Amino acid sequence: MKRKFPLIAILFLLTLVGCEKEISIPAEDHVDTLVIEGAIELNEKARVTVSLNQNFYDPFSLLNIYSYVLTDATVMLTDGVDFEELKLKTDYDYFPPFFYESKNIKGQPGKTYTLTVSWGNLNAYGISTMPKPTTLDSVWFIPSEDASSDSLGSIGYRYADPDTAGNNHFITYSRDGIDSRFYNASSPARTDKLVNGTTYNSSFSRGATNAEKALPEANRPWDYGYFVRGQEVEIKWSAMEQKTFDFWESLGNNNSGNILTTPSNVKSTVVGGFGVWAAYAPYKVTLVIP
Amino acid sequence: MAFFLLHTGLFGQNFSLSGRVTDAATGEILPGANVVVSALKIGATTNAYGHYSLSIPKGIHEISCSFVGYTTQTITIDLSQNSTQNWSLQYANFMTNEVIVVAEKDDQNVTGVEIGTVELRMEEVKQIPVLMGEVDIMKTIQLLPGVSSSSEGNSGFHVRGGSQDQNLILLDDAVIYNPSHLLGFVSIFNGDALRNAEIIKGGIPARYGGRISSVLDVRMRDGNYRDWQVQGGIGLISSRVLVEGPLVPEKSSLLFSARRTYIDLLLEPILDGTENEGNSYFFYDLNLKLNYRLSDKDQLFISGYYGYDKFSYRSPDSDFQSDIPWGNGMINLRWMHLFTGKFYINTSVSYTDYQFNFESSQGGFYSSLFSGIKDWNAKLDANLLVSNRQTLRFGAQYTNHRFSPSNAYGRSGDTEFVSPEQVQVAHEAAVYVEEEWKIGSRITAIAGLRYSAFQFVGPFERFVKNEQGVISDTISYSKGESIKTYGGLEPRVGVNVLLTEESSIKAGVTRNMQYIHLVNISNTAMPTDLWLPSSEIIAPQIGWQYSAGYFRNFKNNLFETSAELFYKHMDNQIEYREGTDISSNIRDNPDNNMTTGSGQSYGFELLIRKSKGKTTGWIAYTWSVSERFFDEINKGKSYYAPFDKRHDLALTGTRKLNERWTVAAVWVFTSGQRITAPKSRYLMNENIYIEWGDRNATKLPAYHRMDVSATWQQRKTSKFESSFTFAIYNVYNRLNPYFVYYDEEGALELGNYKVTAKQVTLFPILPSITWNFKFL
Repeated sequence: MKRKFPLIAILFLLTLVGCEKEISIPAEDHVDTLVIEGAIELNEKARVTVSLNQNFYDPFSLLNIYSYVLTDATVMLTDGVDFEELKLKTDYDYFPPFFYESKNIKGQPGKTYTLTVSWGNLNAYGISTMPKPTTLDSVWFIPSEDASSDSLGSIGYRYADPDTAGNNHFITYSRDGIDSRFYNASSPARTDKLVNGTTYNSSFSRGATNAEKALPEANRPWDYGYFVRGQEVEIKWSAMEQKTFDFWESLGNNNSGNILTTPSNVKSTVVGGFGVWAAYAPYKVTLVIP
Repeated sequence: MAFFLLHTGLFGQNFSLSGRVTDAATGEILPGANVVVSALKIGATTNAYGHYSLSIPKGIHEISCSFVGYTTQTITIDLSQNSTQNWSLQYANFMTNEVIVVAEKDDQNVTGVEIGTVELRMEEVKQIPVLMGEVDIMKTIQLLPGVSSSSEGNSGFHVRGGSQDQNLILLDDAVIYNPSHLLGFVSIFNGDALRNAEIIKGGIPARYGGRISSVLDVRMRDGNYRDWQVQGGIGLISSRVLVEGPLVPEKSSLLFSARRTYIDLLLEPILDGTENEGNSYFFYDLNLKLNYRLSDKDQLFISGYYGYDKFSYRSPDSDFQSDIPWGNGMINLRWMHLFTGKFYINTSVSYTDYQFNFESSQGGFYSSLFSGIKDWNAKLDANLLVSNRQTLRFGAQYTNHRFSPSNAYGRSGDTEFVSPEQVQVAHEAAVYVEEEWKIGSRITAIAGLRYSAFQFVGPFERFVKNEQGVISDTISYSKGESIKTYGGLEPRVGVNVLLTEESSIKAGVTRNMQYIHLVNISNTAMPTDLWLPSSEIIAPQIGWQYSAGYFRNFKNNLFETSAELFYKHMDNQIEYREGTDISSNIRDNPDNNMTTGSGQSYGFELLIRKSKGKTTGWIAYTWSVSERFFDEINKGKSYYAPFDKRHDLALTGTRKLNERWTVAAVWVFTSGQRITAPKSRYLMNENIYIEWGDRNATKLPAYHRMDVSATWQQRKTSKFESSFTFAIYNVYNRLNPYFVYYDEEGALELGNYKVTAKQVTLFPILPSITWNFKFL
């Protein structure tokens, strides 16, 4: 179980008396670096997005987003036996919509996958081994005590953690008839560091999609952050390597800067670039919320 | 060691004259008073316990006793045996031109062998305008050269480029680990209960140990030996009261003070019924001093402090709530015994307890994080006046440390998560010998040698991680089992060469060892910072400091000036590994998440100070560099410490206009705070993330601020006196950056994503009023 240390409380005190203004702080000159976001799941094809980093203060619009994304990179994958070049595909359920996909290589537990990416004179690679999937004992609905309606809530789960430490999982969900893909749960990366070898109950809330987060507070949907009674929710409880957990954890700590923390870079799992190349072994379970 | 053995037999023909110097009105001791035999050109200064000792030939002598702000006394004595002479000086009135500037020169700045040492008296500190009217010795020392604050308004300080944990903060000989209230904006030191403070920035004498950068030695007042008195003050954020008086007149005194904030009481009616209901903050602290003069040769002291802070937060947007209580406690029992007029010892036993707790709950999940440190300390300090030219000090010290670096508890429904309780026990001991020696008429030297040792013992469980960073094994140590032992010699040498009666040059070299470490989660002092012992993973901090300076007084010591150079090298510095945070310590050994490096700092300091007369104050300027070298941080490249400030200037002035009004002003200017700035941004997980640039490579705009104050003394009666202090902090409303964050607006999908850097200013112009009173 992993919980963020809630330093927000201290920040609150500071902002009680503080006032703020815009300030100009020069960013250091950046160096072009490949950014890789790639995953291979159990019995699924590999899927990889390749982009470039940008100047920190560059203006951003829908027009220049495509300058981030590389559609002409060379992306190669091997599982130690087979070897293939991934092909560019498009899927508008994702942002950005361009990704590279394998054709023949699919995820299998115990196999090690090596990804290499080249673009111009930039090269990066990542290696990941797929763990075995682990099952949840049970899942259930937990009505929220604070939401406006008792129809809203989160999902509880019970898990028997093996004795060996380092069993990490990533939680995603998809609501039947609502979501066209799987989305990350709130605090999706979970570690057994505190609960190694025990059978424990925990929970996750829905979090919010980027589209929902972008809405003004007044226009947010009533189930913002919650699951709702009557929904059929498919849950993926995906086993992952320790370095993949470390990546997700560091992604959460890649804050926008404040007095309480030291800025820290994301712990990339790829060499020569930023980002992640990870093999996930999901256990899937569906909960029909009563 | 030969230095210590070269005792000349000068005192064969001499007799000792010793005693103590006290305030005539209250009977309280006066450290720093001068007792001088003018004809012989010999003299002594009272020590921290108000005691002095002189070795004088047989005969009739005229002897004077003086102290700044007090009327000088002169007596004639016929000395034919070892004698005791106690002095009781009349308070004249600090900072009026009626003060008799002492007949003998108050030339400690030039003649003293101490280098990098400044003493502040509370009368001086109380005149300086401060944040929200809270008299604060910690803020005042930040106005001295070589001392800088960790952030605006923060009590945490850095000395000559060293980290905060490298400052030994003593309150009546007991160690204080966290000297801050209110997240650092107010120090724990209640000005009413204090007598003076001394900061030693370089040339730390061998009698002090355990820290590598500085010593801040704060002394509480003894309390009035003659009359019961009540004094206090009502301020903007807190009020305080102090009671003092004789338990047994002339023999025993008691001082008790209490202080409490009322932020919580003021906020409660405002926040009730709003979304912020339940948010509150308060602190209180208590000081106690009890003295008993058992005889002319024996005196007992009990000093105590207890302070408690609690911050409560209730989120308006969710069911998240947290409570953060923390506090310090300290009690010290000290016995001073004079064997002869020339030889006395101080023996003390003290207990210090610092605790921090962070409790939070959300969505049925409750968590608690606890850390702390408890020390038992026993100490013996002996002082022998070998002759008027030689003083020998020696002693021993033992501390039992119990660290609780990071203990966590969590509960979700019926399921509990409990991290194994981590208490790390260590023994620390030291012996020292130190001699101050006047060689001829122009040279004074001080040489000391300290040997310290540290042993980290069980019970303890070491979590061993595999290559993936997952705990794969545990090594268990039984109770008392030695896990790691460190030790080393700490030589300290200083010399003063008097060039003229009003000028001297001084130099010093010291090696200090520090067996405990404070690891900061951020660049500013927070109660979340952890104290850790040296272990089999992290070695003790070792500091070498070289300093030299030119000291010159003008106009019969009315003006003191100094220019000092320093270089400091620090080994075995620790930091969190990049990307780890405080939560990484849960169910882990915190030192598993640390990385070790080194540091260096160098610079020069200028000080011009006037401590007497109607106008007093000082100008302090520091130019310095502070760098760190860690293989695992900043890609192995050197980087500046977050508190590296190239220029640091402070102007402090106080003017007594008449009997009723005193005005004061402070202006500070420092180079901008160092931050880590972004280098680039990239898309990941459908969001934008930041590639941060080199650590602390970017400077924020320069910091400057002026504070002013005016104290209006009300007409005194025989029973009561009072005054109002009006103060304005940041009088020209400079919006200094407290921290900078990057604000994101819009959404990627909507094409209106925008990021801007924003600075948060914590303290704009802030007026305050404080009413101080005293029942006589």
